[in-house]
Amino acid sequence: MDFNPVTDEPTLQLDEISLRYKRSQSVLEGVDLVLEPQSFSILIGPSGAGKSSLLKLIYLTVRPTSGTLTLFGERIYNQSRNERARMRQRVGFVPQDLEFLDHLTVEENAALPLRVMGKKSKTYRDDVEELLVSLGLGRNLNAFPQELSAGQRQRLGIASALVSEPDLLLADEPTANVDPSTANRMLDLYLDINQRLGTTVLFATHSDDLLDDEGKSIYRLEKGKLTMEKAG
Amino acid sequence: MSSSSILPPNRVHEIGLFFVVATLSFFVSLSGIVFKTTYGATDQWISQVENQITVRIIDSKEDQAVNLITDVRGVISAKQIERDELVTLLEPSFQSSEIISELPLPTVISVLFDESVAGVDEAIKNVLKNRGYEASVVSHAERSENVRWGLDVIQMTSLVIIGLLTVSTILIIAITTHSTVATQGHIVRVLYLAGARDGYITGAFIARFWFTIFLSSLFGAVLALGTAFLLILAIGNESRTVSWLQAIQLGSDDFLIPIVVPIVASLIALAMTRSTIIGTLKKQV
Repeated sequence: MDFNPVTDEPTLQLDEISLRYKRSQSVLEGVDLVLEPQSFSILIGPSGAGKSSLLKLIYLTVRPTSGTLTLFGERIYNQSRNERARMRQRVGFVPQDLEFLDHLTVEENAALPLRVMGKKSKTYRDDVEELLVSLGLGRNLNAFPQELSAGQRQRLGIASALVSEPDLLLADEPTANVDPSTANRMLDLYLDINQRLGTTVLFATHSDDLLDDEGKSIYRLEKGKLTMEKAG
Repeated sequence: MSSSSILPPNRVHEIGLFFVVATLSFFVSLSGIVFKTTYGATDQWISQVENQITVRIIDSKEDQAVNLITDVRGVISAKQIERDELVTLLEPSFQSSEIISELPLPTVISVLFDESVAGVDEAIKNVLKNRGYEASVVSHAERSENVRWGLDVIQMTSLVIIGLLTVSTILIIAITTHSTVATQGHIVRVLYLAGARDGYITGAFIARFWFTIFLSSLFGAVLALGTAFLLILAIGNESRTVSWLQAIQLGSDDFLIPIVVPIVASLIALAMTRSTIIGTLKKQV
C-alpha cells in the first residue's frame, strides 16, 4: 500500500492556537506548528502538558479558543459537523484510551471507518486483512477486542486509524502503558508506516527515551507552550 | 468478514425497555378500550330507555289499559309485558322462579313515546285515572337523568385517569429510552472517532430503538385488545339472561388502538433517542 502522494502545501499548520476549557486555566497558548507532508514528528511533554488536547484539536474534536488551524490546505473555521466529519476521514487518530466495539471482531473493528463511510465489505475486505497481517494481527482476525493483549489493542487502534488511508496519523501516548522495548517497537511501527505509506505522523509521548532516532522533528510541549527542539 | 450489526445485540437494558413499554402500552390500551366500550354501551342503554315509560296496573282491568295508553298523544307503542318475561326480570332478585310463580304479579305495560311531545307520562296517568285504573306511571327519563349524571362523572374521572396514565407512559418511555441509549455512550464515541457522521450514528440508534419500542408497544396493545375481548366475552356469557341490556362489544375503531399506541410510543422513542445521541455527540464537539 502507498496512499499518500507528495503535495507542496503543509499537511497541518497551526498559527497562534490557544485553548482554554470552560472555567479552567489555559491549556494551550499561542501554539505554532507546521507538519510537512510525509514528515514524522514527535510531540513530547509531561502528563498534563496539553498533548492530548492538541491532538484532539487537530482531529477537530475540540475547537480552539483563538488562532488558525489549517488542515490539508483548508482553513478550519466554521465548518458544519458533517464537514468536520469529512475532514476527520483524512486523519487517523489513535487515542490514548482505546475503545472498540466489543461485539465486533478485530477485522470488523479495523474496518469500521470504512463501514461508516458506507463502503461495502467486499470492496475493502482484502485490504483490511492485508493491513492487519502487516501489523501482526493476522492470527487475530476473528478474535474480539477484549481477547487481545495491550500491545495487540494498540495495533488494532493503529489499524483502525490507517484503514481509511489517512494523510495524517495522530498517536496519543501509544507507549504510555508498555515496557521500554515494546515502546521502541511501537515507535518503529509508526516509523515504518511513515516510510512505507508516506503518511504524515505526529507521535505524542511523555518519554524522552524515544528521542534517539534521526530524521524526526521533535516538539516539546510544556505548560501549554510548544517549542521546536529539533528539525527533522 | 461477516457484517454484524453496528450496535451490540439486545442486552439487559433493552429487554427491560421492551417489558416496560409493553406493560405500559397494555395498561393504556386496555383502559382506553374498556372505557370506550363500557361508556358507549351505557350511553346507548340510557338513550334506549330515555323515551320509555313503565305503567304498573294494580287492578284487573288491564285488557283495556293497553288500548287507552296507545291512544294518548305522543305514545308510539304500548306493550304488555308477559308473565314469563316478568319472571325473568324478577328472577335475579328472588334467586328462584318458583317463589315468583307463587306471587301475585301486577300487570306491567312498557310504553315507547315520542320525546318531542311533553307530558306524555302525565297524560297517561290522567287517562287511566279517569277510567278508574289504579296505576303507577314511571318515566324512565327521570331515572336516566341521574344515571347520565353519574355517567358524566365516570367519563370525566376515566378521562383524567387515562390522561394521567398516558402522560406517565410517555414520560416513562422517554426516560427509559434516554437512560438505555445513554448507557451506550461509548459506542457513540467509537463511531464518532471512526469518522461517522452524526446522521449515521443517530440513524443506527433510531433504527434499533424505534423498532424495539414499536414491537414492544404493539405487543402490549394487542395483548390489551385480546384481554378486552376475553373480558367482554366473559361478561357476555354472564349477562345472557339480561338480554334487554345493550351488549358490550368491541367496535371497529377499537382495532385502531394496536396501531395508534405503538406509533405514538415509537415516535416518542425516536425523539428521545435522537436528542440523547445528539446530546452525546455535542459533548464530542
